[in-house]
Amino acid sequence: MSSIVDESIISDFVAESREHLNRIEPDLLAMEQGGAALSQETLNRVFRAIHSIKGGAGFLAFESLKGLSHAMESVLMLVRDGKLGVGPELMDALFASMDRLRAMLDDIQASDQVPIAQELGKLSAILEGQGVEPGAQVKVQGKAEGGGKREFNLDAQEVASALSHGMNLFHAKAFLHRDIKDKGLTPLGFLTNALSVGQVLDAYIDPMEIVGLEACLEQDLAVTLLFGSVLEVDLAAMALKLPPAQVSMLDMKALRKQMKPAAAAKEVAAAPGPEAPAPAPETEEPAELQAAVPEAGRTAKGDNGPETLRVRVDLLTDLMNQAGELVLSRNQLLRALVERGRDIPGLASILQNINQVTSELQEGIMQTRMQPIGTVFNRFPRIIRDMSRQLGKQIEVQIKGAEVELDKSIVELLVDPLTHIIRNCADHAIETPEERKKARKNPSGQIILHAYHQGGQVIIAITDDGRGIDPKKVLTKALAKGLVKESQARDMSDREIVNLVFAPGFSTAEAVSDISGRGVGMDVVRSNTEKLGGHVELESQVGTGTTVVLRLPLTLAIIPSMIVGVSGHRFAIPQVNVVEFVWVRAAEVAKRIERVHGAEVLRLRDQLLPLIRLADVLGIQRSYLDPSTGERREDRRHELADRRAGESASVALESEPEPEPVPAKRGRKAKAAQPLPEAPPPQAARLQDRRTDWRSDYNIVVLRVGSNQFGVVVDELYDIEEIVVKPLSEFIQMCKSFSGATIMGDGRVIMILDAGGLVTQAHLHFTDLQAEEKLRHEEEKRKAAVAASRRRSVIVCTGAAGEYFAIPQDQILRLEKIQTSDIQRVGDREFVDYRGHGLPLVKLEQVIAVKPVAADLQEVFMIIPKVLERGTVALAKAGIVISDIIDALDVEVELEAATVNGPGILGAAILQHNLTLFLDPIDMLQGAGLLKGAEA
Amino acid sequence: MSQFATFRLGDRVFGLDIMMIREINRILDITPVPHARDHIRGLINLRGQIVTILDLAVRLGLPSREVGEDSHNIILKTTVELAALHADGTAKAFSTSSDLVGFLVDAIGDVVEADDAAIEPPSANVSEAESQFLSGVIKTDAGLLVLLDIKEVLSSG
Amino acid sequence: MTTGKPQLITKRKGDTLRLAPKSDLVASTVEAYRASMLKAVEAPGQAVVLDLSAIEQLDSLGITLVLGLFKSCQKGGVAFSIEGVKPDIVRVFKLFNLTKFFPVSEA
Repeated sequence: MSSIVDESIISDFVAESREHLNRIEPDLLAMEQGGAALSQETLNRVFRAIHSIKGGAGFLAFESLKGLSHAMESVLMLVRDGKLGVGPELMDALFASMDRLRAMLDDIQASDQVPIAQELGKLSAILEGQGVEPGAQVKVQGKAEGGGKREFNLDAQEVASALSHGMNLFHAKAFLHRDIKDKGLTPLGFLTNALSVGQVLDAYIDPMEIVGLEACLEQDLAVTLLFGSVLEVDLAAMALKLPPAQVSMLDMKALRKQMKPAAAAKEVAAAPGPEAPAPAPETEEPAELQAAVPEAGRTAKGDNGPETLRVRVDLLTDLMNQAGELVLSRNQLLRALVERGRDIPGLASILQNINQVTSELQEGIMQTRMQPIGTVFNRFPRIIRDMSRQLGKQIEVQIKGAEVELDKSIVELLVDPLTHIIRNCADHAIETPEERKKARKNPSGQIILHAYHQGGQVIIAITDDGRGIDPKKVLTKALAKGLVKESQARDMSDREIVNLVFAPGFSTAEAVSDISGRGVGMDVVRSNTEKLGGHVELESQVGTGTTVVLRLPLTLAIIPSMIVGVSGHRFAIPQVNVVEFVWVRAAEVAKRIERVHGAEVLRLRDQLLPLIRLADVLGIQRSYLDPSTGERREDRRHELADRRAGESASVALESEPEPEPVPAKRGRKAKAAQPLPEAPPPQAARLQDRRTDWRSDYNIVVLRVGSNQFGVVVDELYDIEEIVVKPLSEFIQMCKSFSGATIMGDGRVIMILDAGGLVTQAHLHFTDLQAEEKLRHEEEKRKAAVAASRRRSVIVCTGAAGEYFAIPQDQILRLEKIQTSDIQRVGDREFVDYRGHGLPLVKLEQVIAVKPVAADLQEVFMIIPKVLERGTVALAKAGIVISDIIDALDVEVELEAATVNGPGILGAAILQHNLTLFLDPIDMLQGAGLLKGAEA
Repeated sequence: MSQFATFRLGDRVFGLDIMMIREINRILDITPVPHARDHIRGLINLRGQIVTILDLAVRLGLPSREVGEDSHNIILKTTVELAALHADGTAKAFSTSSDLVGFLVDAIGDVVEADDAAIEPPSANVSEAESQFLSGVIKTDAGLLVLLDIKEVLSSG
Repeated sequence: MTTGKPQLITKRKGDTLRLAPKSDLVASTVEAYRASMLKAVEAPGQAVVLDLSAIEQLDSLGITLVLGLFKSCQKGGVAFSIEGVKPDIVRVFKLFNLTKFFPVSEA
């Protein structure tokens, strides 16, 4: 049986419910703390969220979820109506129920398996204490013929949502026999169809129309629907496959009016218990909303805000990356055209425009990814609440600047570091109430989360009024762990010392707690922050408290980049320029790399790639790791070709295997720095030529600029990383080789290479190479032609016994068998009658020094060569007599000089184990004096 | 009265109005920038912001400095920051750079107070190359304090 | 789909009458079931339990039949409930808001 509910409806419901829960968590905390000052708005928000979860769960028939949320709703309603005060018992029940709701949403299909009896029990106890029966539903009543009324059990939230989506609401009747069974539908199928064209707000069958078993099958029961759809009434009927008379639209104007918040004020009637609806006589009259609906207020209010649209994050990420690449291209364009600016009228202003639009585009896309820091902050009060109970501490959390926005990816990456810091605060920093009293502090500790803007950065400060960090203890530990030397420590300020907690491997917790765990240090906080292009610092006063300050960039201009190393320096190459990586082993360098016009080139597949050494282009002293000592040393060789062997590279290349290209895929680990093999003993190493040492392998990054490609030789290839582009200051903007700088995970600044700039800097001339390439292509073509010419189709035949001949097929016009008795002799010439003509015969021995064909043969063969006269094939001129045809072969042979000489002999080769003379029949005819002047 | 932070390059002592200084630090992990002009020492990571560090000695025509135990970077406020201070009335009108920039110096000395009237024009006994970057001298108990013309030092000329 | 001849298993335990159809309640079987049910509820006792554990499909007529049985019980003041219902069929009862008239418990 098909499932009635579309999977996507369920997943939407789960996502929305989760959002509801996240949104109201701070409200629940506020309820707990607020006491009498609790605002109605907060309560309403919580109530609405739970109500809407209940509604969805009800429609989708998730019973446990509905049951629990219903109970929560009932309790909340009492609180909202001022009938129930907020106490710890109530809050514990609500928090516990929240956790259950979350658990159920985590695996919605198994939600009925989540145990909720305990939570339900707590809630029921509270309700029973108030003498209230659970149950609250909003009713839309259909006006019936004869004044009777029929109520729909309608979720007002859904009505509001349907209205806000521009839907019309319909009252529809479908008869089980006529409209469902007779049309081949099942009742479920009917509802499924309805769901596919709109929203089913309520549906029911009224059994009261039936009298009993006796006549039931003869009765046609009606399914009544309250149905929301953007369709107009005629189309809605068609979509529901119902006669138009059975579908009527509700009075939308009246409905909207009554959904207005003003009307909603306080009109929620005491929740009625579940009751059987009154019979609903058939009616085509529109139903109308009777009870006002408080929940509608939210939607109406929401409508005043700017319109929003859900967009997939990966799409935004994509757009952002594209924008980043566009910025790079713009920079290249500007650089390429800056000198032409004066020559082309109007160019300067066009460039200016492109410049600005690109920047604004990038900024706009960045903006779409902004998220308030509150999405992270708001989870901490709950964490602290639970922790403080567990630790027996009293801790208050204050949040300031929750509205400060940061790039979504930054917000996400902040979760872990902030959680770590906050847990540390609660676990280690804040003292127990007794300790605090002794120290004359408020027994309740404070943690303040504060986000604000400063100088183009976002600052997040986490302040606690706990015991502070003792620099003496930190220093002792840092010295013990060897993180600092005594000599360094003497010059360090207290502030510098406490910041040592960010050093890798440092952890100040004296007791291991199950909350903060062991040694998950602040170093993780630091490295995570720095990965974001941020920075973390700490200030602490013993006895007074600690402030951890994170400075973060607002947005990220992130581009995936290849990190390469030369002579110990690292550089980033934007992935957009990288085509592939080529690794040439030291032993093969000589064969792979050649010189064209004095410049080095790498032959990669059918392309010649100019090579540059990054160290040379950037003017960095080349260095290499000395194999014997492992130290970095100056490399004095200046040409790759110094490593070349003597042979001619171009010849050798043809049969050489290709260098190993590594596809330049994003995020993949490229060939990482070589694992160090066992170091050879020093003497052996010195003897060993560096040419074959693996340390002399070549890592080549193939880059693309426009349609040109070139190779950059680097020492090391590291990973591909997402880097944050920082613009160059005015002092270094003239450095063409770079497009920006970035900060690596270890805090170091590295330069971002500009592929176009490198081309300029290295004075690469692609045109020279293109000419060379063309030359080589022609050379190759010629060689191919030669090779093709060596390929022949031949007729292999014999003359005298043991003598073999091969004649190119394309030089043969005919092969004819002749009877020796038919051969006539005229003078010293022999003839045979061929198509009414006397055709002269040539005997092999007449022309070349071979034995004659045996004279006793009854039959022989003659080969009639193809002779061209004035470009067309002439009639048969003569036949060459052979004894037998052996084979027709396609052969590719290198002809050697034959021992036998004479006109018509091309050379000799072994064919099928026999030495075979290759003949040129035209030459033979000429040699025999039967043809004048070669025309073939 | 103005306050001058003093610093040393070799055996010379220079002064810089402290209102121009953003901070003094020992972030000496300086990434060199190939092909930059000689007096550009490189880039540092100042809490997530990139700062260009000038080799002030080279700019003044002196030999490049080795980074030593007392080496420091003096990071200048940007023109935007200075304009704000000036608008507040807390600082004179200074001109630096719109980018974050700092100087590598051999050592940091005391802060010296001096009346503006005590500032004298540069004496004649400095080299031509150097005098271009000097705005004045102050005679102090400890000796002659040479004041830099930051605008000139930072100019691209 | 449970096919086969419509066969209504009736069990009486104390005051409770248990009715268990052995095949789906669909157009082709409802007539036969109605006849058997009519006979069975002549002496319904205090409660009637409709056991749907063998049922995989319930079409429009099947629903009508169940409701007819319910009404007959209701008229006679007999408690009516349904048991052993497959989740998908529970959903049918819920979606049509029928569970408020009689308890429906899942298999």
